[in-house]
Amino acid sequence: MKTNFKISFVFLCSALIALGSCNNDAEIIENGNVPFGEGIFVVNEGNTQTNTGEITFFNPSTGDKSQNIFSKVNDMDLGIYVQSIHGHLNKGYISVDNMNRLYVVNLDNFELEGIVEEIGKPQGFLGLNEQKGYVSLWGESGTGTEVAVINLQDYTVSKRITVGTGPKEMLLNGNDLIVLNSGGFSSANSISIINTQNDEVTQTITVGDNPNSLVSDRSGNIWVLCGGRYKSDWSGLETPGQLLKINGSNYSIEEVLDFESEFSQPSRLRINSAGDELYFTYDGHVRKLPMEGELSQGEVLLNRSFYGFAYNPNDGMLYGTDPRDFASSGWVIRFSPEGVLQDSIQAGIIPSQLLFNY
Amino acid sequence: MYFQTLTKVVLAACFLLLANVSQVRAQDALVDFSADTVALEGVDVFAPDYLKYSLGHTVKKLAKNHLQEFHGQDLGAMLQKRTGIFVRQYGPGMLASVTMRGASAGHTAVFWNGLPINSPSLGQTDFSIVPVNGIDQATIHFGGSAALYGTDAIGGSIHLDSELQFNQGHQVEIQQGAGSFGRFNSQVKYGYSTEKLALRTSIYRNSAKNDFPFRNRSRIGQPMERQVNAAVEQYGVNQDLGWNLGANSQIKTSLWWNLTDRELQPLMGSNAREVQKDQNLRWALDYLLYGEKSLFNVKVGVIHDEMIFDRTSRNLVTQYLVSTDYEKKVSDSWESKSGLRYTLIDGNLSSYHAMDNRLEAYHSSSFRITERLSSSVNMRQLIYEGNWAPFTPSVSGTYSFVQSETHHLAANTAISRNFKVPTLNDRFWQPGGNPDLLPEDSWSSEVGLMHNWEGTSTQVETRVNYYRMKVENWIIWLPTGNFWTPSNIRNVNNRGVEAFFEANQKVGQGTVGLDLNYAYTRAQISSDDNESTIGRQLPYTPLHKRNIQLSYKWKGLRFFAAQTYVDENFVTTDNSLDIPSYTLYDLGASWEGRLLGQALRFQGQVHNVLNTEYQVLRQRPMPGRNYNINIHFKF
Repeated sequence: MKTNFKISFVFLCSALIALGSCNNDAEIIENGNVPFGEGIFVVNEGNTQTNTGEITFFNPSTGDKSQNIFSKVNDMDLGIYVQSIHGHLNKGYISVDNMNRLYVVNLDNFELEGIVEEIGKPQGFLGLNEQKGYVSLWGESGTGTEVAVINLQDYTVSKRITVGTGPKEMLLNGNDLIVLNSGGFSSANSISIINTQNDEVTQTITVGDNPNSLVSDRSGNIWVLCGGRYKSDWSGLETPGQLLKINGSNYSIEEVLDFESEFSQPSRLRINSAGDELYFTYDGHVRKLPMEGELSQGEVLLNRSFYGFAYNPNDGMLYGTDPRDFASSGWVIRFSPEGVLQDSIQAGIIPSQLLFNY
Repeated sequence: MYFQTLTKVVLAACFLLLANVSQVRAQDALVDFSADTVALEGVDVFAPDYLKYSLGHTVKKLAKNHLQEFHGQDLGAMLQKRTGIFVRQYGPGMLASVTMRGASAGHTAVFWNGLPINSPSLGQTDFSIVPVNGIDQATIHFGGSAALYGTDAIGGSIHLDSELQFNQGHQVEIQQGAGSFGRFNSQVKYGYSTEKLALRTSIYRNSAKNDFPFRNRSRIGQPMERQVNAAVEQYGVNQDLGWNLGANSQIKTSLWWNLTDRELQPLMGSNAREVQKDQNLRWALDYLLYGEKSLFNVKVGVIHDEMIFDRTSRNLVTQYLVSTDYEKKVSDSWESKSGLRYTLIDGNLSSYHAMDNRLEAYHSSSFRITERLSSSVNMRQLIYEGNWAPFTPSVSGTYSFVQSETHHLAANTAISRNFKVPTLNDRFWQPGGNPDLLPEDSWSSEVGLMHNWEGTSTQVETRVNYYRMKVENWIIWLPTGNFWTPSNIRNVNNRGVEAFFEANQKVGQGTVGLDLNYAYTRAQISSDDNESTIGRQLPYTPLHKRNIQLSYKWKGLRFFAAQTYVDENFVTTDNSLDIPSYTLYDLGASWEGRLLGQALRFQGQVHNVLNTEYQVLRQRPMPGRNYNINIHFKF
């Protein structure tokens, strides 16, 4: 009897001894004090499951690669729902939605140079000159209607411009800033034109529902891709996706293409460096649309879609991101312009947007 | 007359309880860790016996000590510090979900007075909105128990109960507590009971500012800052009633209203300012009719959960339950229970409205096969909206090798199938809800040894289990096209060891106690559509978790020192990012005595004595060293 007790006691003790504790630091793989600068910065959004948003850097020509470069260099965390990193005069502007902050880093060493606060859910940045830049904001509610003008000398908000609901992507067109009103957590269907001389809205143009991306081509036309709007019961699209060709000087809508799908929203409009071929994701594909000839839904280039998708003007390659299960390290995958798989690079949690810094 | 009635009820109740004593006694002693604090004065209103049809399973009643120590706090905090269960806490007073045996948060069934209180829309219980002062008793069933309790009981089940007694006269209790970071808790209870009727009302309020200092990793230089937007305010009312209708029938009813209004502690450094308001109204009514060798029970219940997120998004779910079962002592060695339960769920959520009808039939039997061998057999079939959930049987047993005055050594084993009906959100959320989801389906098996030593001045209870479990059709939400949708894509294999150890040794006039809970949990993804997660440990599932409490009791004085150890665990499904391990220490003292002829209890505690910086979930800061005191009067 005593023996039995001893056995269970010994078992228990040995179980306890087995509890070796490892005190690893909470950091991901890879190391490297590789110089940054020329190369590709990948935004890893992060989510509430992982509470980790970060930036991955890699240079396809040298093979240099480094993970979590923001926390590594600055010994602080970036936050989650990292929306984008935009380059401007050798600085990176990182919009972090959940932190309500815009971080400014030096792209050569990734050292933090400033933080813009008092902005609600920043989405994207566009730099005008050494003095001024713009941040699109969704606001606390996610249905905000502001673009903030940022003083790049002291990183403060110098003005707030009211645009449509949920401004997101922005594009500079001469002296005009074109803002896509994407709807935020709600819905919208316009673009706002801001005169960058006086930071006033000069025009608001109605487009399709939920515009999500825009580019300008070599002839100065503006192309806007609209996702369309779902029915209130989400059983399908009430209004279809649309591709609009807009005159870049007077903003008149010149052509409109309705997409056929009742479910799929076209998205992620990109353009090649020659400015004569459009790429976008639609109906589970990446599609290519040459601008010559009639507008169409394009030809299937890749038989898969991506969470983030970009065209690298430096090497002419297409980059897609795959966040896997949204709870582990995702991947960035490269394809030739013809759609041939090149290679893939492991990134952080939910890789989405990319900055090609050349 | 009353006395006669009472006597009959007592006898009937005792009969049912005692009927099993011969086969359960030893196990009871092992499992009931609160044995030293239980004092039965008078007659209890009916309370279910969670062991009766669980022979061979591990069923552990939480000691009254622990409930007292955590008065004014939430159940999540108590489970984290006093059981091997790992609680995923978003911060003090914030969302807290549990994982038992490495299963998901929705794989623990939770009951209050026999009503399932997991939210049908979310599929789980937020233990931060279950205050310890709203319950009298907590019982934990480790391991799959769906045959006994129905959906969700894959990793285990937790049972919360009210305890009410007849024949106590007037009783008033007043509790007042205060603690660091703006913590206050107050409770007033009034009870009145005769031989025939027992009534009790309790009103409480718990609040905390939670403005604790933390190292802000989202600022340059990581300065110490105070937490903002984490205040919690909680109110509640409990009303219990027991009524002996006649010689052999009893009505028992409980009502619990709880309101939690809180700011949601943001991710570290974020200035997000979200708030959430939860209201839970639960009502259970039991009618019990005792026969000579039988018990007939009808239960009616309503559970109404309202959650308002950020003042705008309103989510309402109401469950109506009716169940009836008939328990019979068929022979000296066979007891059985058979029943039916019907549930109507009405979900009115921010993005959808849905109804769910569920009907389930169940049967339980316990057998004393020989003097040494006893066994339980359970089975259940649930149908929801015309879909047949997996038929879930379970077979378990216990064999006593040694049964003596002082020693009892027994081996246990159990095998069971368990399931979880997809939640309302999984099936109906707009957009993305998938009505074609299959129930999550699990098999589990376990073997265990238990040993009980009752010496004259020494009591030692040891229990060690080894289990294996697989969960198939595990539901994961992933984007498909333009929105997220859930599917049955993951399979998970779990195995682990649980150890429970409690020893009490008389030393002079005092008693030294050692209480240990340890869990080794290996929970690996075995198939998934993401190859980099295969073979990996599930996120936020530490391999090792351990609680130790060392105590010394001398007359009315009690001191304790407690340690909680949580092993390194992973944030991501590919285990690429982890959270470091941490060890926390708590100290406490209490004094029970009499003041002006009235019972008085005073307790004080220091939590996280070493001021350890730690996070349970990544970037969700937790408080450093903190204090609290409680005074309890009883008239």
